[in-house]
Amino acid sequence: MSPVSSGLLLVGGLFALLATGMPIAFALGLAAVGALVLQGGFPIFYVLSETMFAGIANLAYVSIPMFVLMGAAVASSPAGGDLYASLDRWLNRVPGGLVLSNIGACAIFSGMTGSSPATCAAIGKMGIPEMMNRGYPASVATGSIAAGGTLGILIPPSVTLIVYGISTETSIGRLFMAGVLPGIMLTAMFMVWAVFDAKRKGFEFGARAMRYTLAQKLETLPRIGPFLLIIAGTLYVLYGGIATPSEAAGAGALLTLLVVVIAYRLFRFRPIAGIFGSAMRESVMIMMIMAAAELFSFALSSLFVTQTVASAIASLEVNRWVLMAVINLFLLVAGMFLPPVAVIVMSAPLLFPIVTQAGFDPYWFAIVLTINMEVGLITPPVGLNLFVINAIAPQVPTRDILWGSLPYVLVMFLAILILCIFPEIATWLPNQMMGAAT
Amino acid sequence: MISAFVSAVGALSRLLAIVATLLLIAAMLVVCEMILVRYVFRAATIWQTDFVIFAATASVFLGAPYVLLKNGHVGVDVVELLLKPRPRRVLRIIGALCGLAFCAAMLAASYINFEEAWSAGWKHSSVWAPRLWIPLSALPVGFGMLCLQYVAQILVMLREPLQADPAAEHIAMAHAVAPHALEETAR
Amino acid sequence: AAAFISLAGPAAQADTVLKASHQFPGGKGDVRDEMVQIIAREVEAANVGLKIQVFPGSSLYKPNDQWNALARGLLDMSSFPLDYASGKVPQFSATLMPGLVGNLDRAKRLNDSPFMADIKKLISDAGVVVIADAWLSGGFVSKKDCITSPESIKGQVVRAAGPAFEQMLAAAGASISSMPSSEIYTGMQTGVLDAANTSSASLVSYRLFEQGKCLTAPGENALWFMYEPVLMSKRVFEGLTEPQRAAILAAGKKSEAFFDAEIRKGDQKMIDAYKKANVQVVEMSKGDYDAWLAVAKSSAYDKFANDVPGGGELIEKALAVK
Ligand code: NA
Ligand code: NA
Repeated sequence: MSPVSSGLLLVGGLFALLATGMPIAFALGLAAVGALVLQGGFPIFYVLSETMFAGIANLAYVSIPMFVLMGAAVASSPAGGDLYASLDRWLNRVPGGLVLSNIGACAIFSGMTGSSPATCAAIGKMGIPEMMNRGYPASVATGSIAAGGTLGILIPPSVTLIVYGISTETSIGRLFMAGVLPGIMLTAMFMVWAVFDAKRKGFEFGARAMRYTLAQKLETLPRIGPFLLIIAGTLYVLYGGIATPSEAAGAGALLTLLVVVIAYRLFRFRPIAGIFGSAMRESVMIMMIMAAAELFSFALSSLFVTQTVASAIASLEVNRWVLMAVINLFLLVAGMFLPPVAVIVMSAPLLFPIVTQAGFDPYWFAIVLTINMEVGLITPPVGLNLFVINAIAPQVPTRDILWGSLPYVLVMFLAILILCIFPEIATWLPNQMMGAAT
Repeated sequence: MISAFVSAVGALSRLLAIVATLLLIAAMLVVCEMILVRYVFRAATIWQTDFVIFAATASVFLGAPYVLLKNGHVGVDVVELLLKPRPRRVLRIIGALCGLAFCAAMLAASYINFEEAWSAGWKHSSVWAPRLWIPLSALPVGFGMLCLQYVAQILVMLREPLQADPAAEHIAMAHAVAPHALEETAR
Repeated sequence: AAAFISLAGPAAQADTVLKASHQFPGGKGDVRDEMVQIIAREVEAANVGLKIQVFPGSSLYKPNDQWNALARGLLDMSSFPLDYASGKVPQFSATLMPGLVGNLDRAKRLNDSPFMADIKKLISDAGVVVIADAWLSGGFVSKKDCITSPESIKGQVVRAAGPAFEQMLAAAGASISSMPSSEIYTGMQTGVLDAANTSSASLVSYRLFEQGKCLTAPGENALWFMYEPVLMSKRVFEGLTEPQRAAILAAGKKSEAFFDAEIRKGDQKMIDAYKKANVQVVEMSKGDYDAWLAVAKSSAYDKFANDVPGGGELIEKALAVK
């Protein structure tokens, strides 16, 4: 069998397995094991275990459960509600102020967790009912949370960027920095759209009548103190010369736990055990996909599929921007069906050499890829943020959530376009802080 | 008989989940200890990196059966949602059998690896040089337990009356994706 | 794997396709990648129905996993740092033992010594054969004082390459920090590390000249050498035809000759890169070297001789080489 036909068989087999609804991790693994046994017989069993184990036994990967833990700690405390309430007092007179509070709270929360569903859940739990109480349509309420939540993987720390960094051997610290300005830009674009939409539809409600004095506004500030403490602390550990990025995640997690437990007096066993338990579940889910994806890419490489496809694309005489458009399309489609982590571990080894050979900056590409993955988080059939919203607002039909998040998808496309025209938005900060990329 | 088996398997998965969670906590604490030792005391860190990596990796395989129990491994349910209850159940059973096949294959593969590491006395090549069978044992244990968990699920599916609505499905999945938010809501 | 590929492989007809894997960047002039590429080119040109697919940059096997795959006949060829398998064959630690090699000329003489005969016997017993020898040199880079004598490293936080080195440096009063080599740059940048000890290739490719103030280049009295031969699975090698084996061995000789010529250039390239970045470049004197050897004897050598069967004899044999 030629590399191309065995590759098609492998990918086809994977899709057939995924169609049963079985866990993505096990579908990846079974397709890989099947292909490897067909290729080389059962002796391959001698290396399967090492391949999975060594695939995730890496210090950088340890930061994933740690950043997930940070998110879990904040999400299961009242901190998300406090953050949200405070922003509301400051923003309630702006048209669509609550939508802005949502997006703003998501953006700040993103600085504390590497995971989008966590962001979505933490802010949405408070934000969605509040907005619907004040008369916002369900689609606007849920859509803005679904989209705001996606910022979790763009604004550092980000599990997606960590996985990209490991898969492509690029610097994770640098990737994080590359995400800062695009993250702020996308937040601002979301907000501009929210204000525009609210003006257009005339969302006023009683919000404007509710006036807060400056004292009332200021009094909420101490309540967001814990957040600022966590963000400042983690940044200090990250960039202050105390630890490498992978280690900073562990320190950030412990710091967050301490702040949350002390500030909100969660001194009982149950809530603390709940934080750890939920963090364990989410990180096992992510890491299992990555371990199995190691098997899958081992199979692709072993069948010489990766190399054949890469050299075929590299030899195509197309304009580099056509190439980039094709890659974006591929990422969008892949992102619709698979969670970000799975897309990256499977495609990065293939796409990375092509992209860099075509002269694109690897850090810029990481950000473009991440925004593509953000789109995937709010598109069916597999959109992790959609699942979360479905669970925290079961009364809202999925159709409304999708309809509400669609405009934000378009805003993300616009952001990708802007990044293509001005790649400096991603590359400027890391270049300033760390010198030109190698 | 079947329900005794199912609940025994569930209890074992929970037990492993506790071990996995403790390993994660240990990894977090050791990372912090490592930073402290290195930065504050400027002293040697010999065993910490190895420990953290192996603890975090082992916790993935040990926690996996519990995550399966909680329906927490994300899957693609497009096809499922298009089907009527009866074919949907058939599809699910096929999916579970495929999952079982993979876990059984990995149980065999990881047992071979573990056995070799154990009998040949393999060590990790570092100063600390921990014995490799210790972290590697997480794979056969985890995959073995995943197999049992799948068998339990299949038995339950064969027995249960037709039901399941897609919304409940999504909520189950969200519990896995971001359980922290939902626990409050559920109470 | 060879047999299966030849049945199922497309490249078809008669060619046996072998897989070669390594962890180093492909097509970017890394000397270890070049060695494998030369073997692949030469073997194909020899027209013996043999073709070698090279998988650089850990794109097939993870670095540590290559050994078992070779021994099992699942991987055909690899450029492999032998010490990575020292958890499985503890004697291999001797190939990353401080001060045992000294300089590149002596490394060549070592290849044909009784010491390396013992090592190659162990390799062969594990089911692997050596196709081409290669000893990679390395050095130190520091943000504080230049690392020359054992005294100069006292109090520095160092990331060392290899357990035996860590034992020796710790005995000299350094603080050992274990971390993956990919973290050295950020480690030095953030101040977590004062110094690092690694191969010349890594000293350049990780751009440590941006962080360091002083480089200790290998020179005539180098402490750090690592044996990174091109290996083949014995089962696969013995399954080849006589002309195929001859072609591989001849190609191995060519790649060895290439390595000898290039390795010095590589060290010079490193020195140039550091000088260009205004990093001070020093070498160890014979006196420094002997002082380190004394430290090594009471730490790493001692431990190796006590813990590893035949360890003491291996060190004696290596030190006996002129
Ligand atoms: Na984030
Ligand atoms: Na999607």
